[in-house]
Amino acid sequence: MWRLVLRRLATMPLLLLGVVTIAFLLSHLTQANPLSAILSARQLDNPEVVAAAKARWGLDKPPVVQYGVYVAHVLQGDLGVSFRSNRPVLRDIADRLPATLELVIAAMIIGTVGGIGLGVIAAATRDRLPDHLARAFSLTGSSIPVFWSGLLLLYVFSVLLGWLPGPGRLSSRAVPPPWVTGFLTVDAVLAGRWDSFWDALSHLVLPSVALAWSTTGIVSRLVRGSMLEVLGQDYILMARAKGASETRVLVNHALRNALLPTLTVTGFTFAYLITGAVLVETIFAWPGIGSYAVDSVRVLDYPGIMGVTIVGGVGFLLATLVTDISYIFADPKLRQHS
Amino acid sequence: MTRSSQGPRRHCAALAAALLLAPLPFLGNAARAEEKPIVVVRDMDFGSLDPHRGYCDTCQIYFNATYDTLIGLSQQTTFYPKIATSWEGNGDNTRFTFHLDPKAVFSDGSPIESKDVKWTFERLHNLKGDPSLIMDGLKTVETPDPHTAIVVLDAPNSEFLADVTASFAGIINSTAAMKGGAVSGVDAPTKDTAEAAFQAHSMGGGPFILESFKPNDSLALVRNPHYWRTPAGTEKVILRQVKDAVSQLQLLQTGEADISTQIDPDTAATIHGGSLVVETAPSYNFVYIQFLPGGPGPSAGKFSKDVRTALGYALDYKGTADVTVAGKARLLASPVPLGFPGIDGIEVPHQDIALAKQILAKDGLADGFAIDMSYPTQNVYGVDFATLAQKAQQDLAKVNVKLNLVPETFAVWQQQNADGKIGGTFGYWAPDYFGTSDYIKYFGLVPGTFVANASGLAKLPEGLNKKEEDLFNKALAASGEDATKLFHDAAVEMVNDKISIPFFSPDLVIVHGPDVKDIHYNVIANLILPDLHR
Repeated sequence: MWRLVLRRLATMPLLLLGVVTIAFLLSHLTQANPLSAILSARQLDNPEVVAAAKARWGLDKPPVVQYGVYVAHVLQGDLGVSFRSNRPVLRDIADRLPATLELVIAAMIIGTVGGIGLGVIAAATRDRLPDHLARAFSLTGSSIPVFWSGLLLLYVFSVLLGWLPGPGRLSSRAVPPPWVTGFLTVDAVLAGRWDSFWDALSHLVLPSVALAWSTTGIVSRLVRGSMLEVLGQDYILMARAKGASETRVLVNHALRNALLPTLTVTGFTFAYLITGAVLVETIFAWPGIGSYAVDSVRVLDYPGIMGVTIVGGVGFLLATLVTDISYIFADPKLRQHS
Repeated sequence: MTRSSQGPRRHCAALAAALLLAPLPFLGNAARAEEKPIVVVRDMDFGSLDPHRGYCDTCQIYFNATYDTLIGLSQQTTFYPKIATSWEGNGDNTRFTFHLDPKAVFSDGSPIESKDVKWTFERLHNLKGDPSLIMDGLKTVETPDPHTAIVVLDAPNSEFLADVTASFAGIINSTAAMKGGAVSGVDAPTKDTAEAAFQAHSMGGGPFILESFKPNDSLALVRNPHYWRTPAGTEKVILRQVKDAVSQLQLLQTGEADISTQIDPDTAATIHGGSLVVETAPSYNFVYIQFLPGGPGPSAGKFSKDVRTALGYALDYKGTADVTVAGKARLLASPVPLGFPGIDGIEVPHQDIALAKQILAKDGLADGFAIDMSYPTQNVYGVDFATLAQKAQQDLAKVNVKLNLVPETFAVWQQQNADGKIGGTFGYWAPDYFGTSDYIKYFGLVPGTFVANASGLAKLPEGLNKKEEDLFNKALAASGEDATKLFHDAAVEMVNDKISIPFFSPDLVIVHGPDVKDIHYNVIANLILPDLHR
């Protein structure tokens, strides 16, 4: 198994170089001159200002040289300076990534646990009311666009009922806990700031539920299908014949085997959730990597676009690797084979 | 093995125990509620917190609050003393003397002196950032004593005093800035490394100082304890990043925010009951349609001045304001905001389809033609540009002119316009300072302006507008009423150019909590933070 992991790790730099190259080419193939994102319209015709901006951002060099310089910097861990924020891209990403990860991890937990629970209930009550309700919930989650469900959740639970706070990671006037991990819930606990912890946790509920809803749908349908298939197997019949309780049959015998395909989907769901976080971050004023990516693309911030692409690429490759390893652990046959 | 596997469990148990022992939620917030900072929610367009690089609406709000200028501009658009107690210009508007207030100090308590004025203006000029246009034409700054600064220009500029009121011209603490890596010489574009310092601290002498800046999240300002003039009305103001107007409104409705000036009229119309206050104020922003006669595509060679005039008559200005901003707007004639020097009194345009058809028929275009028109895929000042463009498409269809609408992202749209590679476009504009010259330098058919270049007219038989250029140069050299009259005449020329035709100035929709007072909009500051209080 370790050989497999090492082989995958060894190919990662090559894959990343491919990601960097494609991202560089795509961003440089757009119609617009990046200067139009750096300068205002009136200064685009001012040769002195244009020359100063080109020199400052290295745009006075041919694209091939720009590419070479960029790759050399990336190898040293420098992703450049953002045209938009005027800060190192790595710092921008480091500031924002924890916000997105906190959101996505919360959504993943809700989506996976909720999805598995609903899937089991649906399978155990096939073609009865709970099954229909669970399927309707799943279908709704998969069909409603996240920007709409987000706004709906905000309106109902924040504005109308007042049960949960509105957009943002903390209350507007709250003082955030000292930065340690960037995960506000964790940092608040580490600082012993319980007011901040509850504040951060309550702010996390609505965006993570909005983001998780579609995942819940996908996972529950998958679990339901797998469970129904497994429940028809002979060994389930045997377990029941031996007098095992229905809960034991469902959880110990059926669910354990039905979870294998779910594991694969969960790995890819992580990447899907990060993508979905873009809209949720916009609606919930969540200062994460998704909104950073969108804003970078909107204003043609080459270093920002490239930085997010590289970090996203690394994240995706790592998520795939972790999924593959988990798969090996979960499936004895694969473990033996590897 | 056993130890490592128990480690996380122990941590989880500790965390669970801690959670159980945790005090009730939000007690800490309640304890801090006394301070109650004023929270402004907006889609912040910050690129830089350096007054010589940042060039955006939110930048103006921030710079105005933290970097005092030599002269202020009142709500009634008159000048008043700030760092300078008095000032005078010479006869031909090339030399301006400012007498500084000896009491003026920066936020670190050090005195504001003429050397800081010199350093600030030279850096603004030499850094070649977007706001450098404020100091175009700067020759030198003389400092005969610590409290006198004399600005010498290389050409007359009757609106230089207005330039100096711009928030980008706020005076910077040169000693602090140089320690942070700022450079004011001609090598500033490549040697200046002060961005990080500007993002960590404000280095001015305004009513507020920067407490913290988290890009894409928030910017917090606290009252400057050393401020020598009237102190800010509130101890702390937080500008909070919220992109979506509906989300901004929800934060206002839940009391999490106090003010928004970016809620569009349609969203504002959904506010019923509750304690929120909705106000509108006339703004100096405007949206326009622009024809580019030199541009390629089906309209190439068809945009004579007569044809452009006919297209101007085909547009329904009031109807467009009704459709896009529920009529909350002021119509204007020239691409210069109402209320600017020499602008009031110019007749606003009106729709006359019959006259438009008649002019087009005279030019042999009774059957019309097509125009490729780009627009930015944005909602700016409450105006959705897709709706604006579609309304114009309907209007021009009445005179058989077909608009092929080309939606573009901001950067592509801006580049396309700069290159003049399209038949026309829709755009928007906000003032940099209270001066008509700001607009002629961009929209005028005067050599070197953006629109003159983009229009391609210099290479066409029609050429640029020589009369407009003469009036503009004379206005810059004149003073008082004479200058105002000349600016008026130049603006009338711009109306007749029919290159940039403004639709309207959308009103500013201000939504705020009931206990926030003195919310003022200003040409150069947008929202005046120091005035705010509960």
